Amino acid sequence: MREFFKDWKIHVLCAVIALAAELIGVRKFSITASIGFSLFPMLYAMAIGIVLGGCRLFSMETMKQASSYITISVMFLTAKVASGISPGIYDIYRQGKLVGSGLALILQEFGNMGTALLGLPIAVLVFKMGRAAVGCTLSTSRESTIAIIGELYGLDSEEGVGVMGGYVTGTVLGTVFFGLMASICAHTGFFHPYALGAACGVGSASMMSASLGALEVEFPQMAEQIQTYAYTSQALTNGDGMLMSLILTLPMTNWLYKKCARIRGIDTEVTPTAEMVTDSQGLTAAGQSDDQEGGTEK
Amino acid sequence: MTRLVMLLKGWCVTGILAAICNYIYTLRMNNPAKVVTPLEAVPGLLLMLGMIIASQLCHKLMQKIAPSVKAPVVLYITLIGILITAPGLFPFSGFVYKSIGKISLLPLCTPILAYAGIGGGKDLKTFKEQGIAIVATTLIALFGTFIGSAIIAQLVMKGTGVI
Repeated sequence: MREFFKDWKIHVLCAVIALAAELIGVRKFSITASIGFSLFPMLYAMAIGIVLGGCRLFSMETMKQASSYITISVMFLTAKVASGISPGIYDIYRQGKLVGSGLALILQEFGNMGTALLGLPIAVLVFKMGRAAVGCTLSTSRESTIAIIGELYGLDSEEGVGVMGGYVTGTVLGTVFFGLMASICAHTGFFHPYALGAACGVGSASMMSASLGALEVEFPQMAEQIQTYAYTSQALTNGDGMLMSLILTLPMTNWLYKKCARIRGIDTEVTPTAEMVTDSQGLTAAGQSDDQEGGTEK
Repeated sequence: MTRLVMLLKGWCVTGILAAICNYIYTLRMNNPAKVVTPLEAVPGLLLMLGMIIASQLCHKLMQKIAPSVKAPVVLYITLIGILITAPGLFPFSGFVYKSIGKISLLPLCTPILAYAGIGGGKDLKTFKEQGIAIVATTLIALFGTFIGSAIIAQLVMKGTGVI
């Protein structure tokens, strides 16, 4: 019995933080009619936890134990998301919008390649990053991306450093960033709430719920339809995310890297395996042959 | 401590907190018809728990009979959820959807992200060691996946007359 209550501290902390966050409630801020954002409980919960941890108010062991409870508690969210898909799709079907919506949901999956399309050129040309940019912008740098990069390049490689950097950044800032970003995008009025809903499904449960939460706060009367788009897109990304990163985004990211690196005037080094990095002669040879390949292709 | 004990504790704490957070959340909507007391949230939470346990069992079973299939637990929960709420497929699908629908997404996430916040402190030191380039690039990449999907969805939905 003593063993059972050993980690009571984490759960009490979790309860206190969750209730405090819920009691603060939803807060809306608007600067002008089209610029503004909302904050809501889950963002406070995340922020309070990180700030308290940053002030060293709890031990490393507590934080590690809490991490293992994230995957357990997130199962409820997955169940909630899964149970909303069928009835939502049925509703769309009854409105006669199944074909258009289905097409939009499938095609928007390719929008997930936007990580590299937008991120990589900026990383290489503006921030002067090397191969780390490939790891960092391949996808959302969650566990599945780490698995891909780890397998192909090794986590000690530059690409590995990039994806691990992306992972901690996403862990610390991701939720709040997604909540604010979706909130600001909703305020601009450029996008229909359904399209933003479909965009929420990025594969990470906390990022999806933060952006979806922001949309629910902005458009309460359309909450159910927005949820359907977000939930379905999330389920699709969970299913196709890894495959898409591997066969579509990775080749594109490497191609983009080569183009951008050439603009910057650095040698395009290709490091398909970790062993090749240690062999400098092999590295230059591979770089040259790869350049030639690229030349004949285009 | 065994994995099973951790699972049970995590599920209990999350479930109870979700019910209370949901109550506070619905109280604030200023609509008495929409208030969901913690007791009213119990069937939905138990149904979710049932789905979770079923998916865990599926996962364990698949590991035994087909170890080459490396499907994550998330996939099983999603499939089970899609199936049991499919309208007309089971006599109880409407009940499942309605019961789970009583628990809103926002308050359900509050306890989850409280755990994530406490656990996130562990990565804070590594995060501080990151260069500004990696942090900025990650955020731009995250913005890229969101805006990329939003643009495509917007265009397709406009084109097909959904919106």
